[in-house]
Amino acid sequence: MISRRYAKLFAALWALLLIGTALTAWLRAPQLDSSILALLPHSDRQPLQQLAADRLGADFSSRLALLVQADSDAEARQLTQNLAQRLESEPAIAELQWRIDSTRLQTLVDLYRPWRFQVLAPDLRRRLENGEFRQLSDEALRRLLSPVGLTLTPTLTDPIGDPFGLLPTLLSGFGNDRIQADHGLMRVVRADRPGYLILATLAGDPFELSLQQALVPTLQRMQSEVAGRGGRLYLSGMLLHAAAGAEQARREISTIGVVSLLGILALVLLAFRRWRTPLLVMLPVLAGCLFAVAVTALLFGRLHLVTLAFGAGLVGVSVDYALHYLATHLASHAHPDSRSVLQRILPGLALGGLSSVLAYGAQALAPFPGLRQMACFAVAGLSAAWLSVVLWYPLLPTSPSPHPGAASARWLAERFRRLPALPPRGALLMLTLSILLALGLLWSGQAKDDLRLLQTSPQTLLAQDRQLGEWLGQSSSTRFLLVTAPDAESLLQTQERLAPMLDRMRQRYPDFDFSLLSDRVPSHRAQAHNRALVEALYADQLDRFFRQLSREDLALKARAALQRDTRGYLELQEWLDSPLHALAPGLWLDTDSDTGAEQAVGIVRLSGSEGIAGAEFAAIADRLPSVQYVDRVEDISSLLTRYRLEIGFWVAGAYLVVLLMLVWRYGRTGWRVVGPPLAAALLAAGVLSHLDGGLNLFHLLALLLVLGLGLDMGIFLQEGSGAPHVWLAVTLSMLTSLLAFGLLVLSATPLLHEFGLTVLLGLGFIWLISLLTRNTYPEQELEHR
Amino acid sequence: MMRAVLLLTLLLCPLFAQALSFTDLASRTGSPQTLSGQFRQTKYLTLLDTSIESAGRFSYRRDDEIRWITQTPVADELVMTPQGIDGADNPVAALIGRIFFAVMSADWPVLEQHFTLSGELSEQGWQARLLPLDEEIAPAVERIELSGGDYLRRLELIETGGDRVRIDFSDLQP
Repeated sequence: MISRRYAKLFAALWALLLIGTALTAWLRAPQLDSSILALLPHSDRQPLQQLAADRLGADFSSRLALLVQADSDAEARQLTQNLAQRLESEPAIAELQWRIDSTRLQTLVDLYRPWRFQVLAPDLRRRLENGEFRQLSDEALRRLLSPVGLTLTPTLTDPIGDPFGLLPTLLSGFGNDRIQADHGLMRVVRADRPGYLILATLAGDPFELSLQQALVPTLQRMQSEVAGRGGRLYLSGMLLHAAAGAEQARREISTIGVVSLLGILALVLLAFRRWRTPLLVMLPVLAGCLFAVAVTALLFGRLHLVTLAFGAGLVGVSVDYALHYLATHLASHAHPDSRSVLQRILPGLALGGLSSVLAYGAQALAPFPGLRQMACFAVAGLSAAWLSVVLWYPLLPTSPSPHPGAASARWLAERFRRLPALPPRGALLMLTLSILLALGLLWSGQAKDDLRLLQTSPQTLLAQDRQLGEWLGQSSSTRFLLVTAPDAESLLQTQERLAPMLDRMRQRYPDFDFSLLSDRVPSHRAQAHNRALVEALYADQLDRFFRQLSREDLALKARAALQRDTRGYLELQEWLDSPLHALAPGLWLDTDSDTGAEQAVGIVRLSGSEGIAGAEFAAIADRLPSVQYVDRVEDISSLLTRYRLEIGFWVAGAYLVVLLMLVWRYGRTGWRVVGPPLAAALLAAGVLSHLDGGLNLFHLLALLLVLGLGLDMGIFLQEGSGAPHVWLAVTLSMLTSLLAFGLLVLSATPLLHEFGLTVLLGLGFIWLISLLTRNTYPEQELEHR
Repeated sequence: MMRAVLLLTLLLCPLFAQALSFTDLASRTGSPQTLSGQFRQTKYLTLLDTSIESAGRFSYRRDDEIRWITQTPVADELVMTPQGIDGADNPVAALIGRIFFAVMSADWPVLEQHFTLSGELSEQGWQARLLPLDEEIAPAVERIELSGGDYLRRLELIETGGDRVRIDFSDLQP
């Protein structure tokens, strides 16, 4: 022996490392994260697109919309007031908007009034271009004559400074036709019952558990209160999805995790018949969990709840090493050996550990931050469990009495011996046939790459989002056009070329609308053009207009005003610095200095575009070189497709490498180790491609896990030559893995469900095929191994 | 007999002394299915310090619409419905449109939501003054003065900015 002293030293060092890491992580106080976005890959496309999407996403995440509905207007108003007043005192809400105030109008007037002759409503500009001077002048006169005219906003009526109402026409275009002021509240015009809107901006990150706990119960209480009074409260916002996701993950960790742990303990107790054994088994599992949580928290800062839920399943794998050690230890009583238990199993344990770490570690190749974290968690956890078994178990005192568990090993071995096993030729034939069958299934199956796989939100929340989105016509935060230009002027000019194309689209799709920076601040070129149009209107109509009012003398004053207010240009920066910028967020992308070159980036926001094919926007973007069409959902779905194919190659490559490794060690019998997991993985993939829409990326990643587990089983069986204690360990390990992973099938999180289903199918097939193709050694030979 | 009449008059007297209520107006004015007639409007614009005269006709269908057809000095047609004015993109204008519709159709319950009432009721007719309750309308409308008999005969809307519009109705035909 290398000496027990070294063994003790290494064991102590490992214990120190474990405790040290755990303490460091604990001191850093890692945060729990439940963001679905955190699971999403960063698109490898342009960083600017990513920046824009991130900005819009963050803006969207921090908002919360409430729609209060009741049977009568008065009741809806009263409920709205009541809820808004209560929410105003809520510290988790930074800003609450529920009244329509006049300050917004004043801000608009302040900014635009000096520029009324050169910042024109798009529609008015078109009419001027068409020469509709006389009609515009008559309309102005009609407005003055109307008994209930537009003169009701006194600040806007200016018969001398703006006789043709250029400013009111511009400002009314900035209004929202979906929301109407009603008793100082925001009435949602399209709602099916009287309803008023409350908009909240959260004081923090919606994924912070403390924020969720502070706000979500209050909101839910309000929802049931409103329902109790015959009304309805619609809620929409990332906060609710985040809270629902966190709640679900917490629930699943506590149910699935605890059930699988209890099941495993019961199994171990049943097999080894000693109270001490489950405790022993727990030691590396606990070390593994502790180390995994600590390392992941240290590397990623935040621990995702899905990682924890997935990690709960990892218990089943980390228990393997302990089981093999203990099973061999058990057998060593019956068949004493000069070698220590560790020496006997180390080659198998090392190969098994290595293949598992490779299989899980391969997940880190996927560009999904969520999967990377899971890979890190798994690799850290398994390594820790492996080290704990290898370094700590040999130091444990061995009991001199024969182990009662030996009986269960013999019982199991007896059962297995009676089961039919195929002769080597038959086994090969069966493997070939099952692989062919699997390939046939795969050939006829389908693939599915849908972002909805990542969607964990309950249907009720999604339905509320859809309904509110439809009534409010909110701009999409995942679908937009990105315009890049060397400076503000060319950015605005590009948007002005974009406007007529989008306008034609608006005529074809009544629900569609868009929001452009250049409608708020036209380019210098457009401002000069507008000014010329207004000068032509004045030349043509001004005298006639004032003659009709019998105040011809005022035409002179009106002309003087035109002269005075047509110097210089409204600059983009002025708009950006004004409070109006905050009221129309997400149109301008602040690119800081880190992007290097000076550039101006604008975002064209789209709303009601759900029914329009992405290709139509892409076609528009193609016509202007500096315009890009971005659809994050589409991007991620196509990313899923790409990575499904790539991971497919990885799975194949991993099998090939492992095959070579095993051929090197086992020579021609290597197929017995690789064959069952290979055939099983293919069969599982074939079956999955016919279930639930088809094969997806997450199935393939789970098949990597199946490979790791299956190889463990094959290696241990091969190393142990199918001795009873090895079958005991392998069977227990399979059952525990099924308990740990298979239970994930019950998860309501699609991602975890897919993992569970794949592992369940894959392991089931592996076990069955391993059993049928196992090497049948004569009884005598076995005794001497 | 005389006594009875006297008693009745005495009993009714306090009613007349009381503030005019929307219920009184509702019982006094007619609300025909249709009504049409001529109007003459004088609008005073503070900023221009000038009054503009216009004239035309109108027709009204209860709960449905009012067509407001200006004939001079420039032809115009305005359609108002209980929901407001057609084509009014300004929410305040839409609200004022609803109120105007309520005034024209003597829909006192709607007006009661937006105004307080004072005025008097007499043999010949009634006079009413509406003061806005709404913080929505108050910044724009100072008061509305109405007078009439079976039907509205004169409407005067005084805006906070000093602009005022007076409309006289004639040739009223149910």
